[in-house]
Amino acid sequence: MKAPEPIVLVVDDDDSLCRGVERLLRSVALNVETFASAQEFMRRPPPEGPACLVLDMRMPGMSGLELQQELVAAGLGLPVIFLTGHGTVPMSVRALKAGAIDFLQKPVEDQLLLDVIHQALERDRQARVQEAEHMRLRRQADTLTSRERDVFGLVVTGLANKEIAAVLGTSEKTVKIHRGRVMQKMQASSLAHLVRMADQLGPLTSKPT
Amino acid sequence: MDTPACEMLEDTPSAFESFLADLYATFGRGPDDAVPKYIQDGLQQLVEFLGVDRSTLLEFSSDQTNLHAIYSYAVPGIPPYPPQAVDRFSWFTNTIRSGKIVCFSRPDGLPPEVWAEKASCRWAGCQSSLTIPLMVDGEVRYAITFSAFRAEHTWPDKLIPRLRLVGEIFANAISRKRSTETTHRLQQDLVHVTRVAMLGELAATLAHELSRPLAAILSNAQAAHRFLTIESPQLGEVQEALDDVMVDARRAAELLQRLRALAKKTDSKRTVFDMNEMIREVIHLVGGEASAREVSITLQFQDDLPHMCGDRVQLQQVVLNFVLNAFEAIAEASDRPREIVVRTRRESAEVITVTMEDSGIGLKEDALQHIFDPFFSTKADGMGMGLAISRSIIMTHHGRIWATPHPGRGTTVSFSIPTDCKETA
Repeated sequence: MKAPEPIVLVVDDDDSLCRGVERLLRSVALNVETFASAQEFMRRPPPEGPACLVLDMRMPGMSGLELQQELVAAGLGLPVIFLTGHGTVPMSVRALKAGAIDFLQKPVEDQLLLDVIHQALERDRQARVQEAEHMRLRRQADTLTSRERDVFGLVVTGLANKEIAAVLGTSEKTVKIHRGRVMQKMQASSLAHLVRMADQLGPLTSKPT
Repeated sequence: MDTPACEMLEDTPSAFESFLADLYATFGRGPDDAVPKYIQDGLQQLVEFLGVDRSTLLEFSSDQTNLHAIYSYAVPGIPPYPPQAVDRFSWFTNTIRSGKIVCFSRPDGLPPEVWAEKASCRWAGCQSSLTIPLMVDGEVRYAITFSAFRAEHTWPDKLIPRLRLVGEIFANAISRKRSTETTHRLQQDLVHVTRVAMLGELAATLAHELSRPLAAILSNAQAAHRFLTIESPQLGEVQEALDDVMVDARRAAELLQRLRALAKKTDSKRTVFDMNEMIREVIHLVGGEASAREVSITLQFQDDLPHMCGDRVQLQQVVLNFVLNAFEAIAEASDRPREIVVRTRRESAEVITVTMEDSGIGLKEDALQHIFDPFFSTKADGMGMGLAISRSIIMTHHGRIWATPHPGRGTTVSFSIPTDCKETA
């Protein structure tokens, strides 16, 4: 499966600024889409591939800061770069606290903007890789039976087969078989690998539906 | 040797009285601007009337140490009054300052120790001279002097009080003109200072307005540069980028021009302009601030307004002040639409009314009576000069300014102003 192209999403109520930034990004062969308002942006489906947002602070209607908060609340953790005509310190603090990559003053030097955009796209790409990895692990974990899940939970705490058998009230031999199936289904190469997966997955107590 | 004028004075004193009456009438009636001309004409008439060769109005320097000519008339061929000569004529200056007249029919008539003055007279060819100190507001601040060069001249005692009277009419007119000018200048300074202060309040929004075109220009220029330096340069892209650069550079320049016009210190200047257009410019200037404050501004302009004649920059200041006040009032209110409505209306062929309605917190009845007073402010950090200045601007345009409350839903401020282009400032 071919990964979707990265895309930069620019939201600014100033039409000519949008055109300028769009042209600049096209000149380095980046995909761009521009939006005149936060509302217009929110009508777009979430990007499939790596993406980042270049946001104007002050816009009529919803401000850049409000849009950022909406996205965080909706669980759409897109990296955000703020571009602002006159930023105040409290504004930049709020933006950075809410997870903004950077807070740039207009007019901005092209190299600085491009560097920050590349950094943001890279961060989003990595986040997406991690997310995909997490999803894969989750899918593998979902194939475990209830008893295998119990064994998984105890193995990664460092208990020996005998101890696990005692806890679960079963034989050491049965635990050994379950343990082998867990390793196989999770495609774990070693106990250490399995422990890392458990860390990434978090508690496995909830049953798959 | 008596001169014809003095004979005339002896024989027909009424001639001089009617000259005085004319002078009085002229000075009482004329505007301040005409004072220099009236004095100049008056000096010439005095020369002709008295049959002397030169008459000069002198003024003391602010430190009272010397006298210098401010208006002078001399018949052709007669040397002008000598330029200010510090300390050289200390006897003369001191005598006049002490309120005494200096009068001689021949330079020899001067006291023996007064050699500098004597020498100067001989050198210039002055035969006779009369200098009368003039009082304004209880102190000697001016003097009027008459000189004869071509013949000796005597100065009858009767003549002196009359000439003093004429001189004091001149001196008072100058003094009045000066003080009007000072008042006027101070007012202009104040108008300017408050306008600059308002622009300061707007600095953030202006920076924002200006950063937009600049940001677009920079991005477009850098994009164009990149499109040019890539392996296969894309000239179409470069051209489009440059087109946008030009548009935005003009946009920035236009904004600067508007700002410069507002921040410039100008003398009151009357021009003919379109009121609607003028207001639109102000609204454009505060557009960024309005959107940041989420205030909507609606313009309801009458299309066929008569042309306005007045000080465009100052009237713009009044409108700007109205808008800034409305912003403040709206900022303090919540749970209601945030809006400003600006209306223009043609009252008659010669009168325009401008009103601005805001949905802010409104004003209490007692505040309403004082909002146009200097130093009255309902704002915590207000200087209280905005509306006072606005009122003085409207007053100088012979208009009126007023405010009406809408309990619970804001304030309306208005001004009504004659468009008259006939009157000159």
